[in-house]
Amino acid sequence: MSEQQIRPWETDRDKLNKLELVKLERDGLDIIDKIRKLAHQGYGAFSEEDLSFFKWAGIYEQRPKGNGLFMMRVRIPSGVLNKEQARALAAISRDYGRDLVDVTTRQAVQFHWLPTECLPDVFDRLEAVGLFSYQACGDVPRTIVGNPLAGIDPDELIDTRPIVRELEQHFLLNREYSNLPRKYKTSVSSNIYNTGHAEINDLAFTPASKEIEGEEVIGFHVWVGGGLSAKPYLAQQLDLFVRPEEVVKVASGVTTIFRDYGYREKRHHARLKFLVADWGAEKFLEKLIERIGPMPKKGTDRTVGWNAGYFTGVHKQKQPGLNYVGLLLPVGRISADDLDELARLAEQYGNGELRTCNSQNILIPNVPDEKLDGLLTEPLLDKLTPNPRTFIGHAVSCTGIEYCNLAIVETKARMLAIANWLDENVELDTPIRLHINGCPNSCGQQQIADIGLQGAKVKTEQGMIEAFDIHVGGSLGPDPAFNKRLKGRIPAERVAPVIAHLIEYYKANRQPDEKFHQFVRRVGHEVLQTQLDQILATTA
Amino acid sequence: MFLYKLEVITQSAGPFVAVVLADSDEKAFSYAESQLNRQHLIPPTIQEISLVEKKRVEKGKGYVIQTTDL
Ligand code: HEM
Ligand code: SF4
Repeated sequence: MSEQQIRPWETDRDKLNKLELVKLERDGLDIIDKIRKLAHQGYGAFSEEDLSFFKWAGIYEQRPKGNGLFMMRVRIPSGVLNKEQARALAAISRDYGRDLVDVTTRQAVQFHWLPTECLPDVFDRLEAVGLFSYQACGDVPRTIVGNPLAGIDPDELIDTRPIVRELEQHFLLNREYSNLPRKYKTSVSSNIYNTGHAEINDLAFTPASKEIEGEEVIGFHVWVGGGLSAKPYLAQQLDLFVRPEEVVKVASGVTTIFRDYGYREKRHHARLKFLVADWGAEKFLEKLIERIGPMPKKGTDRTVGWNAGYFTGVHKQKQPGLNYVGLLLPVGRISADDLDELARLAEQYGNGELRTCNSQNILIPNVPDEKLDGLLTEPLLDKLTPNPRTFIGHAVSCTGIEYCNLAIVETKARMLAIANWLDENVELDTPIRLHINGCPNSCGQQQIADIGLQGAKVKTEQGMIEAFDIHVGGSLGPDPAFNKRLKGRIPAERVAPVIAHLIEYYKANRQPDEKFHQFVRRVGHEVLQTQLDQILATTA
Repeated sequence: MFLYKLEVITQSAGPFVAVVLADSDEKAFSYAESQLNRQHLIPPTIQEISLVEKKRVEKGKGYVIQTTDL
């Protein structure tokens, strides 16, 4: 941030929350140097205020807080990883992170158990392969999600990799954007099945086209103000059309509006969605045009459906003779050795690349036809199967009580158990997406699931047990809507059979090709509630 | 220390939300029950009590609770 310039929000300090006042004194990004200088002295070298800035470096204290162990998130823009990067991640987790790597719902990667002293070395190792944990958390532009198939995708209008790269370079370590009111999430995808989950990002670019001077131009439509958390909102579309070469201009315009006009009085009222809700899309666009100059009005939306990030199996790329192979990482977790082995497979059978998906899975791109059989007979693919059973193949989970300070319940092991039970006991030809959250913060993106689970603890005669609220009918666009809660908290061990009942009801009453969320919306929430009430009453 | 939010369904006195400070989930339950009992001459019979959210204690942390549709 330039020295003399006074930003609009700085003038009225009464309108700032406590952390905002601190943020005026300290640039969040300075913590990176401080960690480099002091980490060898251990956890005790950092003040509580320092620790609250660790997020800017992509680091969170893990549960239990105060032990000097950290969770670190690494940005993987659009999910694109090369083999050196994958190997570096595996090595970091082996050396410092107890062999564990988690793929997140925003295509990033997380380590756990990192001790304070190792952090500078981890920064160096990441930087050496062009990866960064910086700004993976904190009040800054976060990792840019996108199409994991960018560049190889028969269903994309243009290759978005160069755009994501340009945006990443524009945002990363840029002190113009190091003090936003709150986290800021961007999505860029040109896939017609909304692989970037546009509506739940603060800023999203989706595929569009427009006739300009008799010529069909491919570009983007722009959405602002989406987000989940405890109060989820769907982004609103702005009336403008963006050529690929103008994406960075528009993104920086939207981001500076958020920086300068976003709310800073209360942290839970600071995401871009609150400004968008107050201003409305029209005023927002006016302000944007004031900053970036005139823009053409919107063209034709080219999104035709939603693929929630599921690419398991073998698929043809847009390049003839090449394939991508989508693999299942059950609830997003992979060991250091398996990640290393994936890098080896990517090198031997593909071009050395891997792609992370927001379904917490991973894929190997660029496998020539003649090498497919070899890849498919590799032992690792027995474990990370390209042909998962239905439920485990569509199950997403947040971190949960294992590492998270805010969690009420265990999530990853729980989801594995639920999905595996359903796969053993329920026949189903259509995927049903199951997501689980350990608390209301939505890291597991419970709200967009066909069936979403949110954890609670209930006191019973046998003591405290874990229980879940069931939410049904979520999907993103076209026709996006968050799922809605069914009343009745279900003890954890009954969740799988209860879901099985709901699915049997769906199977018996659905119309041809009707997906679960479509079914819920057609028959209505009350019908499902009645079903749940009956299930709970008959088998109590 | 966490600020906990619990939902309580009682047989005689309707639903409640209890917000308590505690340093463990177990204690959050027992504080919530004792707070509930303190507010009643005859303690209501608790049908279900569940812990639904916790926030690390810091100045300004709190809950906003909608009073319908509990
Ligand atoms: C243990 C470490 C974690 C902590 C303490 C944590 C904390 C939080 C909190 C407090 C929020 C709500 C933020 C808000 O109010 O805007 C949130 C949201 C979220 N987190 Fe996490 N999280 C953790 C791990 C994860 C993991 C593992 C994932 C991915 C699987 C993840 C992805 C997300 C997402 C997608 C949201 C929703 C954001 C939105 O669009 O509003 N987080 N997290
Ligand atoms: S949803 Fe809650 S429990 Fe799960 S990782 Fe996020 S903050 Fe933790």
